[in-house]
Amino acid sequence: MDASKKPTVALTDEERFPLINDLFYLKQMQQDDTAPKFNFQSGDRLRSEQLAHVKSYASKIKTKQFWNTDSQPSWMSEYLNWCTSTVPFYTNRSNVLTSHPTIRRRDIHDSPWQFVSADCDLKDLLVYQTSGTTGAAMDVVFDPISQACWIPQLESLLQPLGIRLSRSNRHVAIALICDQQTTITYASLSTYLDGAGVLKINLNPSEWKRDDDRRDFLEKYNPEVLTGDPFAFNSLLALQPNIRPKAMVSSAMKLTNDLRQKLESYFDCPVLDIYSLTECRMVAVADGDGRHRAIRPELYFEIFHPQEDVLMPPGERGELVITGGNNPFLPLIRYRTGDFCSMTIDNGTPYLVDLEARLPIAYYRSDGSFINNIDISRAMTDFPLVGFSIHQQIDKHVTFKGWCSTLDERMSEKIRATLEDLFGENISVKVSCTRETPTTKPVSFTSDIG
Amino acid sequence: MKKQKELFALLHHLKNCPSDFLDVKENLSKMITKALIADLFRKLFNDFEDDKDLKALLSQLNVSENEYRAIRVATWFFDQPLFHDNNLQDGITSFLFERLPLLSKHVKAETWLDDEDRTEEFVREALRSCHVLIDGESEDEAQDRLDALSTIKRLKILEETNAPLLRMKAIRQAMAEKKAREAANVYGRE
Repeated sequence: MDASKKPTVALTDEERFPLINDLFYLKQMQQDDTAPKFNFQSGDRLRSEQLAHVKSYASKIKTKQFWNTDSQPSWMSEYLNWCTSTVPFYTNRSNVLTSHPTIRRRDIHDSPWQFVSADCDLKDLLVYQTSGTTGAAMDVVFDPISQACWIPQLESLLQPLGIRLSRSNRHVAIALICDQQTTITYASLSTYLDGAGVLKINLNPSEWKRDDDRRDFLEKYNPEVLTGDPFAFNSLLALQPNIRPKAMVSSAMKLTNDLRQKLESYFDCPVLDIYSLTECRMVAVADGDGRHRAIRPELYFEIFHPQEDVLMPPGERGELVITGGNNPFLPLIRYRTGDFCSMTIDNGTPYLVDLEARLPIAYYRSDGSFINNIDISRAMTDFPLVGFSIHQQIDKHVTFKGWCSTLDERMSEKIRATLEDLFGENISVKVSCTRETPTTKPVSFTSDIG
Repeated sequence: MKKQKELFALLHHLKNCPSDFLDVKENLSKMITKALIADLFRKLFNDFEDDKDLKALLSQLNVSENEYRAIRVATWFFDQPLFHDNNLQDGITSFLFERLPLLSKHVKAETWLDDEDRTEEFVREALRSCHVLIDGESEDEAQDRLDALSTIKRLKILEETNAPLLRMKAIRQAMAEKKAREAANVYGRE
């Protein structure tokens, strides 16, 4: 991560964990001899009334009361009333969902402040800048409650498998595994899980004191659940740690069957492939047969025509559009996700069928080492691009096309230099920038290398 | 003398307020304002001496310098035959001690005399307090005209217009501050 973009550590442990008194385990993880060179600190910041909200959300999400064909969820009317009366972006709009136009990532990107409800206390405002894997990077605002609800969402995925996250302050409940050139890493705790450990680690060897530490650290703390993208899990598999997670949860990109089978076989646990969005976190989980099962009753799905604001007939394929969520700093009404599928409802549970989300695309340097496309997205956040496409040919040469509002020769040169840095020696990089409107997705990764 | 309720005459009278009513040394301001009110009430309503309510109001009068100045302008304004009517005593009292101090929080005293719209607003506010209509105007017409001029309503509209802008500014500022700090939270994010 660019040093200028990295947020600085500015809080005390008391501010990070207002309700956790015993920080022994946190210090142990941070100071362990085999620990990575953690470069950040992070906490859920939950106060007691906020923790109560998270627990209440956890109960609600377990009910799994969705909606049926030809009906809307019971919460819709109240939600629309609240949005139209307190959220500037929706003010003066109708209280009837069918009257609302769809909105796009661009709307949030251009003015995230217009989506903040008047009910929100700005003291609770938190910001997260997306990596930009599916579009130009943008700032997403949220609060400690919607942030912490990530764990109940995870639990609701595990519950049908009979898996429960333990509550204790002497174990690691969740480890977020990355394999990127650079990323923020930290050891933290979960107030919701009674002080259980939460780790974010980067398997890139340069982040560790010794190569073996990666395996030793993971084996010592043996996380109950591992989350990560397919690249990170592939690297983890290559590391062959002797750990026994209860489950692995893959996100950010589509998990291939081949990798899933290898992971399940080695780690001897279920491997879940979830569809999630930065704008509203977890949405659905792959359920076999090309279907993703909805997991959050407070998210309502519709399928729209890709180019026109027209609802597709039931069962037909189109763009997934989402209404709802639990983030008062970013309530969504008819938000176009940029992902395509059809929808079916079985026994009151919605399924996304043949969801075409992000396929994992690996890029390679001349020495065969791979580059995660998230690293490319991150590097591009330094430039004022509306979007970009990047393609690697079979001979590993790279073609990059950027879309921007003003053309600047120097910017093209800087992009080329940045990509040459990433891809290393002996890879030629061609860069062109245009003012045309992107004809495909705003960010497109393709490669001829299998 | 005929009681004059013709708007132009009332505006003219107000605008002719001598500068002496405004230019009073601050250390004498309160005393002179009280004296002018007492004098006005003595002239308009002969039984002033027995008015305990007014005496109580005067003894408690403690407002800002701008409000004293505006009240003195009002004592000039009310000093005309139209207001020689005991039925108007409550209205004039209410204007001097309640409505005018409220308006004066937003309007400088000299502006009541220098600015055409504020002069008319002053006259219309004073008449409304006394339930007196300008010749040829209905109650609705008088209210419409006052609404169009009203400082309080104008401020309320401005406030309503500004509130979303201020909120937006505050959110942007909070985002900028927190993005640069640890609040740019990454907890639980891959």
